[in-house]
Amino acid sequence: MPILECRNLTKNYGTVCALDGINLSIEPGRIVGLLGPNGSGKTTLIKLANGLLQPTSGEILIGGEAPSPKTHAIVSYLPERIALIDWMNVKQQLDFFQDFYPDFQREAAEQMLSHLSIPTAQTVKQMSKGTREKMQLILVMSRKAGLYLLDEPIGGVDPATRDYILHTIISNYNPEAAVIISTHLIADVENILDDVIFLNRGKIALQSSVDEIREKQGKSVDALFREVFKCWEN
Amino acid sequence: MLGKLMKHEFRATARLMLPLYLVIVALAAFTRVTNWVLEKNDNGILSLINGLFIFLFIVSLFASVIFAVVMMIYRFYKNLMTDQGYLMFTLPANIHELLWSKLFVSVIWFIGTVLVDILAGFIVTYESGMAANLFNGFRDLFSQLSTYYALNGTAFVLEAILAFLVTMLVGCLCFYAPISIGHSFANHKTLLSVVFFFVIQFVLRILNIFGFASLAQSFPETGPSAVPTQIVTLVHSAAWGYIAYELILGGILYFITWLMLRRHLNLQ
Repeated sequence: MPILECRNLTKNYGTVCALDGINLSIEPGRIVGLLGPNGSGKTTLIKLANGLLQPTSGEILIGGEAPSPKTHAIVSYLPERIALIDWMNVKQQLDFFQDFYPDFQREAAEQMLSHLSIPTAQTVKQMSKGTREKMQLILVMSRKAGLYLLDEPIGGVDPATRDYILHTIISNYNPEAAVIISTHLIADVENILDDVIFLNRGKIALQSSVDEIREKQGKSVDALFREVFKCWEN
Repeated sequence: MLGKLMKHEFRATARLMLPLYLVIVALAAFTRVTNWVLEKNDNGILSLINGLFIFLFIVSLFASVIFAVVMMIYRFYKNLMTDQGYLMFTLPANIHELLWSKLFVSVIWFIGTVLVDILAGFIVTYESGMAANLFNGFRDLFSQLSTYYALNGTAFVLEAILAFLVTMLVGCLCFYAPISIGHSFANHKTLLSVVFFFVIQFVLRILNIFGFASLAQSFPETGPSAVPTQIVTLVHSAAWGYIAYELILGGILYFITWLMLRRHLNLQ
């Protein structure tokens, strides 16, 4: 059974169409790049999968069910914004995740935090932007989830932090789960992807495995992306 | 899940409310001490300090109530409508649980604030035998009311408590509903929340006027000639009428809030 499935999924914001009749199916065990320029509908799709938005028409299913508290329990979501509770310190954040998510692996989180030398008494308010992003990623990746939805995990961070984030994702995700990484920084992520979905103006422009792109088209994902979206612009 | 949400809601609010309670009790104690010293040794500077403590104490009583209300509003806004909403709305909890955790904890802090203010009042004004006198006073009052009006004291107290609790819950929802409507729009969320607050208050005032008018018409004549049992019936009917009205109003505001968060959530 696909872990994520969209059937004729459409989302309009007033008169603006953010997603236009999307059909896709993602199987467990795959790392999928949700790629597209800004405003292509990536975040809208991820918000719909988390129940933060409601579809205008069509449906989105997580493990065969519409987004609900039950699906939230198997989805580990990294929003593009820092959603940590700012007055909490590191220990309190860990307590919070441990309380709400039975699949949260506290030891794994503590180990990753110790590598970063983040003091457990430090509050989110006292952290730098980069540390907050790392902290949020550590919490999300410390869950043994069925589906990881990572919205722009490497947007707006320096190259060293980017490497750290990608390393954390690869080293910690549940291999039986699917990972969806939304980004427009393709060159940085393409080495870890199994499949890619190109989104443009709310429509799927391409859905393929990375191997297929390399073998059949003889191009990197980044090169193909530039080509596809250049065509769209023309 | 509701229990866990309440636990974390308490953690988030207790770090502000408990120090506030401590300040109120400390101010009450200082006021009491300066009163006592002033009784023994009257002088200008002591009178000034005593006056200052009394002023601060009275301000703290009002401030505590205002603070509890502001915190109720701020927690709803900050925890659900800002970036923290991404975390809260993706927890394995439904919207009802999120809402009730905030409502219950807010009401508990309101009750706590009233109790701490009463305690502080006792600290400042306490005299030997005061508690016993107060208890006896209430007992006599109920005894007289029971004798003369055949009033069921227990029922009256229960009605008053229920009305108090329902009023506090509806009071929270009077803020939650407009904030959730205002934040369903793409822009000017805070401004629109304020606008919807006043729109809802305006509608409520109109409903109140019609409600009181129809209530007044539906009651029998209760002038000086009315028999005590009629007055008691009137009091009970008014209490239950008020509770029913608040429950209906609360139900509508709750539904609006739930609907906005469930169907029209629009986090930035």
